[in-house]
Amino acid sequence: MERISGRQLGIIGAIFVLASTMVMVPSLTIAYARQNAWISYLIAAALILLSLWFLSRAASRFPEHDLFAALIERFAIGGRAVAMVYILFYFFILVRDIRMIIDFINIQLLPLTPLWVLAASLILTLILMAQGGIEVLARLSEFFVPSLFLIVILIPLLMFREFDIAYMMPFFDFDAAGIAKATWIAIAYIGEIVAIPFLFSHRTFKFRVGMAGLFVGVFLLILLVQSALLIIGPNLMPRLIYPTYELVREVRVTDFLDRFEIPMVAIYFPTMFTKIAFSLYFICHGVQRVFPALSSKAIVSPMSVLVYVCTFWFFQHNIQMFNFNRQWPALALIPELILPFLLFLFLRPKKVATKTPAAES
Amino acid sequence: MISFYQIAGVIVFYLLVARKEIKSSNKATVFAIWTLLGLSVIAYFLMKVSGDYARPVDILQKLLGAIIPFR
Repeated sequence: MERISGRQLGIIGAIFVLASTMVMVPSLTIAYARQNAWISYLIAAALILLSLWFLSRAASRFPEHDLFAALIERFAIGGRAVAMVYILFYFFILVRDIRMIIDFINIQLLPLTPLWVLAASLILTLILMAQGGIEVLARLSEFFVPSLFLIVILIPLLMFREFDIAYMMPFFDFDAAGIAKATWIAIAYIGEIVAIPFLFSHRTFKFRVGMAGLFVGVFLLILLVQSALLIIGPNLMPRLIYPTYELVREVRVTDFLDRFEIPMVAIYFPTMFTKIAFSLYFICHGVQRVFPALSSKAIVSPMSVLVYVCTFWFFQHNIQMFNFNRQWPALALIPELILPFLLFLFLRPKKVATKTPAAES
Repeated sequence: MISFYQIAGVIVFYLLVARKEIKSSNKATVFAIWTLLGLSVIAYFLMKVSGDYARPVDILQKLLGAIIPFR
């Protein structure tokens, strides 16, 4: 039985929301919603909150089990099919996140290092993290993620004087179509938080903790996006693949800290690695629930070998991954919104036939 | 992007490092391990066959691109 505190669970939720979303999504949301991008994040968060509530209600009917176990206990075949949908969904997210981070390292930091070396080093780290189990991952996230939160909060404070309020104008000119398109892009990433009820039983996962994680993640995301908008502007920002990194490069704390992106990246990478390790753990945990005879710890390494190959197979280059964000929500909304609603409706314990005294007589 | 020798090297490295763990695992786990390693090799050959225009994401982009009403 894992011992995970509410605070650790909230932090895990927040990194599912924040870690991948802050890399590429801000460019696309600003491209569509411009100065109103923050509204799109709030709408996406509200929809995912509803989905989280559906999952929380469904999980509360099986307080001793996580949702994988509940699904398989209730519907032997259909439950396994739904579990496989979630496993494949997070497998794709895992492959995408690894490719995203190694492309980022290759483009911005180590341009001469081959991608396969970066991928192999990362995957070796992930194997060790995921084999440690959920408690190790939770402690890791508790260690690194608050530092990332602090840095994200520091960015607008350090750059306040550089803000150009003209980039927020016209403030009350709401382009509904643009906001809807930006919401479409953002919801697929923010919705990755639905993994939590599949990892923890309802005794550990409470709706209010998931809600806190979602709100913290979205608040920090909005803080980053609005800071980038006010510094870089809505015309230049859609042309950048890594706008957050460009934003952080602008920060200079007098002579004391000339290159703020170095501590930022030093804190961000472990956070992102932890998020990726959670996805790897999720997949192995799910496979173990579908096939109970398996050892989830033993399949972490071979699963990582498969992920390693798929990292190079699925995506041709970074631009393709960037453009795929427009189509990805069409698939992502199935496990993030539609299936949670169906689970809320149909995932209930079997009714136990009780004999009434009249029937006994 | 990656060569067959790299994949083979990774698999051999894994088998060397994890040989004791594999020996002590039950049959189902051993079967799953070999299945995943086999899938890795199949994925590598699919990567070679699919080239630059028929990767999974290329196909998904074409299929879903028809549904998504904006670019």
